Amino acid sequence: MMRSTFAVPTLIALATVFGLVLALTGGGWRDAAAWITLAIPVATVGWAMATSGGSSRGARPARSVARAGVGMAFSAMPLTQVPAE
Amino acid sequence: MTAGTVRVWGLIHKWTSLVCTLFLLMLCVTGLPLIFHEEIDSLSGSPASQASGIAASRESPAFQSLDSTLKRALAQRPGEVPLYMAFYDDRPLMTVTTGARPDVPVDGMKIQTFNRMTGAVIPEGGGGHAITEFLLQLHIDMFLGLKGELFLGVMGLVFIAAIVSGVVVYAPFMRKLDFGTLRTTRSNRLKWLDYHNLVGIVALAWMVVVGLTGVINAFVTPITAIWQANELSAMTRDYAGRPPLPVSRYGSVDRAMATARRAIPGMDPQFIAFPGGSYSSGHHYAVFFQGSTPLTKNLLTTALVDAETGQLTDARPMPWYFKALSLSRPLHFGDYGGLPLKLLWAALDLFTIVVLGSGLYLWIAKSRGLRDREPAARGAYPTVAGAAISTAQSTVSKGNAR
Repeated sequence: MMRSTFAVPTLIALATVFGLVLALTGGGWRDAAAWITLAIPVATVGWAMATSGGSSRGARPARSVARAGVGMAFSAMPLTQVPAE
Repeated sequence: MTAGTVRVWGLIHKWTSLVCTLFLLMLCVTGLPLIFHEEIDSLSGSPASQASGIAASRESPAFQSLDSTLKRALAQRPGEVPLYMAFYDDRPLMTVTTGARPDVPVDGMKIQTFNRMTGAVIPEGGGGHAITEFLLQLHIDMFLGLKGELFLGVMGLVFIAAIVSGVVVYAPFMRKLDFGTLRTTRSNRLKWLDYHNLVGIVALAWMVVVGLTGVINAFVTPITAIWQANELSAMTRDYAGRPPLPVSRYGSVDRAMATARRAIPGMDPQFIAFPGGSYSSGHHYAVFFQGSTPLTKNLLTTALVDAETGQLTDARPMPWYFKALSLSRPLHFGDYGGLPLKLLWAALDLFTIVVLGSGLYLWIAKSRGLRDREPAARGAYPTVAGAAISTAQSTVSKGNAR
């Protein structure tokens, strides 16, 4: 259970750290390799958005707000406003 | 993991996140343009970004002497004493920092920039530069000095605790879900829960590295004080108890630099700390040398030269904790692998903003949701409830798919 939940995240984390350290040891191909390994986490989110098929449907704020009745979309959320509890 | 354990980790995640989120949002938002400060400086026409020629950290007969440059800098600031000289390693510029006293705090320091080849004074410049300076100060200490620095360092530690507890509660959420699942069509809450989990877990390593290196950078003042109390005082044991050297008896900086270069051949200086400041004793020019790769550039070696006689007192590499501090700089700034690395840094910074923002949204939506539902649900722990909902939904969706 644990293994499958964390398998992909562990690989992504290792790739990230490998790239961060590699670029530190020199320029040239090491920098290029770091660009590739650090692009992995970024590309993963793009892949997930594409394969869930919800990237276009779910991102329309007007519709989400109306449906959820929450009254705010993430992009419009006032970050400085702490809700009164 | 039992439901009780999940509940405790969930509470840790909730409270550590609530404590640090607004400060982390500020750090991410101010940090984003700072990734590109070099590009902003050069686009806004800062004079320092346009100088080209032999790097000031090297040796060249074409250069003006350090002593004459210092004399001109002090002539601009009558009554002040020299604190630092620093050398660019990619252009012929050097800076001279002066202040009212050798131990003046940072906000009492005045920096002047000179071209070592032409001797020209380089004016501070560009509107872009003023903006990045403002953002940098906000990012470092929120204009609160050392207190602000240490406070943000502690917020960074709380952020790390939020990340660790977040990874622990990721497991029960994802037990029945495939990696990368985004349920975007059911409700805003579920959509942002999935984005929070996905973006958080993929950016995990980057957030930990940039978070921890930020914490180390925030503790630069105490780390330097420890170095001064231990290594530096060990290197200058013979001088213990003597009164500080008066400025009138400071000897030639060029002679001291030549002594230091002989002691540490094959490296170039990054900066000279003058007597009486945080980086030197009361009697020495402390010359800090750097290597030439991004890695060794940050692993400084120190040569202490008697400021009066120009004789070498001691030379040795910085201790491990100071090396950790130095290596934390590039790993925090992301400025060591060209523009593509900076762009990826910016993307991961935006990811962190998404994680923080969605976390805040989920907490607000949760507390509103609980208020609207029956009072019995109020005490129910969000993570357990959320995990149950997500598990149930995924079972349903998998059932439908088959």
